[in-house]
Amino acid sequence: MKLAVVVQRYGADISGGAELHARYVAEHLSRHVEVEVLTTCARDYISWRNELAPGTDVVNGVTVLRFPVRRERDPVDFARRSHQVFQARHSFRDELRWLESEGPTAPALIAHLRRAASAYDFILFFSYRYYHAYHGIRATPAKAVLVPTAERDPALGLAISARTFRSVRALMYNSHEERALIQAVSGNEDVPGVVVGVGSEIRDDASAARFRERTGIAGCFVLYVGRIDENKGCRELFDHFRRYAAEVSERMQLVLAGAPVMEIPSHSRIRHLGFVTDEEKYDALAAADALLMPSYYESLSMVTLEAWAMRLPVLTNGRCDVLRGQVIRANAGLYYESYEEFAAALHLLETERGLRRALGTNGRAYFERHYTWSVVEAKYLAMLERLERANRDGERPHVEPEPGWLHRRRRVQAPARAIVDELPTGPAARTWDAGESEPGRTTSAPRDRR
Amino acid sequence: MAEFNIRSDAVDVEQIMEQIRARVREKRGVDYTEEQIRELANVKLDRFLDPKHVRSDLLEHFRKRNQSSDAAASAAQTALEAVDVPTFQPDDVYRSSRGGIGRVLYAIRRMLRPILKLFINPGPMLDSVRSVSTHINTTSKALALNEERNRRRAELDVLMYEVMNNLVVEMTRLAIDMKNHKMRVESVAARLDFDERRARALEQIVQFRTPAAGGEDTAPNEGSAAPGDSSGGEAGVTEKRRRRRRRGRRRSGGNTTTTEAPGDDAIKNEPADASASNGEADDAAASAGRQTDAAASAGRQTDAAAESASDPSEP
Repeated sequence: MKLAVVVQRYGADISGGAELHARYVAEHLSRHVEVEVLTTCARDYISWRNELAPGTDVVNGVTVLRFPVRRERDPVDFARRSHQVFQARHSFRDELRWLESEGPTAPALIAHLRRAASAYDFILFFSYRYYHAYHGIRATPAKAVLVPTAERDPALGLAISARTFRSVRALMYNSHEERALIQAVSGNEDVPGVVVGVGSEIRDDASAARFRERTGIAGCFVLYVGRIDENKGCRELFDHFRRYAAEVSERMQLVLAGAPVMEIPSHSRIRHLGFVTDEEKYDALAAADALLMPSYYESLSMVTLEAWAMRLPVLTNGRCDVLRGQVIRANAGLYYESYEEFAAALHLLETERGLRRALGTNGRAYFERHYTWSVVEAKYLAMLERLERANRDGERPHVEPEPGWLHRRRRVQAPARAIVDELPTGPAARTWDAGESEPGRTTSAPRDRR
Repeated sequence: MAEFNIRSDAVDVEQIMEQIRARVREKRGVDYTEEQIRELANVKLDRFLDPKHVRSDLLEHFRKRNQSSDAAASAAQTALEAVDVPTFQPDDVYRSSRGGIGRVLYAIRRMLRPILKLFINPGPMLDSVRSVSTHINTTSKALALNEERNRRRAELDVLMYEVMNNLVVEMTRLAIDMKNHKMRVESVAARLDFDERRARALEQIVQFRTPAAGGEDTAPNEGSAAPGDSSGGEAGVTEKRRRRRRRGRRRSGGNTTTTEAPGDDAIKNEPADASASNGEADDAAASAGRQTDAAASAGRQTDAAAESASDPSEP
């Protein structure tokens, strides 16, 4: 079997969420099937500037074909078009123009897919919201499998996104909440799908002592790993933690690992380590008392899974459906929606050692059950085999025709943000098995509508 | 901080979160999330605040006004940018932009100007065009100044919006807090009232026990009920005491009537019942003492009264 993995950027040093996900999946599946990666020459996800050479490359043993991006993103044009489709009534053509403006516009990649589709058994597209996914899936619907990496952002409410979700052979979801969101917005319950996520390579040699020796951090601390960004909920985290340090705990520290894109407040108990290597990250996880995940929007938090693999409890933002659902299903952390809950939960984690240990143990068990690479690979391979069987049985995907000339120009599409705001919120399933037993339906009533 | 009942061998995250929420609810009266407070601040201010003083849709109005003024400012700016007026000179009407030929044309036109003046007088027309041009230039400068002022104003508006938003949210929060505190004060006052009445009742029971324990010979501890009075006019005293008791019962918040107990006929006639009720009262006082501080202090008072009543050395 030959598999193509199509993703917007690809490289050993590219660490965006979906890109890393794609690389891990490609590298692991290449042990079972022949894998070829199709991507662009861009490295920067904002400008999509062509920085890597077009042509064939090999990254960690996987063949990569790079195609040039036709034009860089114009931020002013993109902002204007985003406002148009997210906030106002608009046409289908407006959405297509928004997609083109967002990029990475790589027509050569789409042309290659059209030309060489027969060389691949299946084509695995990553990230539904980019040019390559929409046009690539339209070009090869009979072989397209999508890893949507969707979160609750306005692009989900676009008509082109719903068409994408309905036009593929199968979907590999990251979480039950992501599946519930996509099914609610597109009505694609009849498209085969499975909740997979991504595995993690856990280091066995992680050492808390080495971390403390290297950084000089003594005593208890909670850890945040990731980009230090307001969009990731870091401002709220800093506010909550400073208040907690002043009112509740005299010893708890906050340690941050990751590149900052916002100002980190100067505080005697907030420590910033900067960018850390994998070894340093796992050492930090081994030394920490808990992991903090303040993000509002996640399709799957890899660092949360890594923390659970290291038997570390997590304290997450309860307003993020995915994180809250994961914590409830894993029974391996606490969540908060206000400062009071943050303080109470963190104090509990700080003072109750038995609870920390129990949550950590649950986290490890959850990781081993669902997120080890052997489990993830088996799910991918099972889905591909299922599709192959369906091909042999003569099943063909339902391809929606392109809208007509007039329909494309009629301003009948509702603002995407309004559509997303109407989607149900809350954890989709209280247990993994409950989520699997009733695909397409939430097992717990949605909490509310935002 | 909170005290939680956590069993580490069987952790249930949702149960723990319920406990945390219950604790937070208990602490602040009503369980409002930040989002709910914001919602209340936007929509339901009239339930908490005086609508005469704060408009519940204040923020919405401010935002709309801000958006419309932003749109107007940007439209004005676009119009301003579209107009590009070069400084006009009367000689410009004779010039040409065609390089060398243009210079020749210019010379010919200048030469033919006297002939043109035979047909029309271009002077006033050129003067008015020049004055319009000057006026436009002045207006452009004024608009540029205005634009700068608007930009500063817009920055200030953002700050104002922030301040106003925080103010309204804080006001809502404080109004909710105040409401909760009012409810708490009412609840504490009710409990205090109940405790006072309970303490009075317990003190009365202790006074009832005094004659039962010391017999008729025990001297009363208050001068108003001296032993001599009991032999002189027992019926009259009894009548007087009954009246006092009735008054005491009617006045729920009145003083204790410790002088009544020693000469009470009912107590004298039924010592066994009195002693039984004393025993129950002691148990009740002990249990109340364990339950609340107030009841405990009542219990301590009861014990002290009992000791002083049974001590033969007391006057």
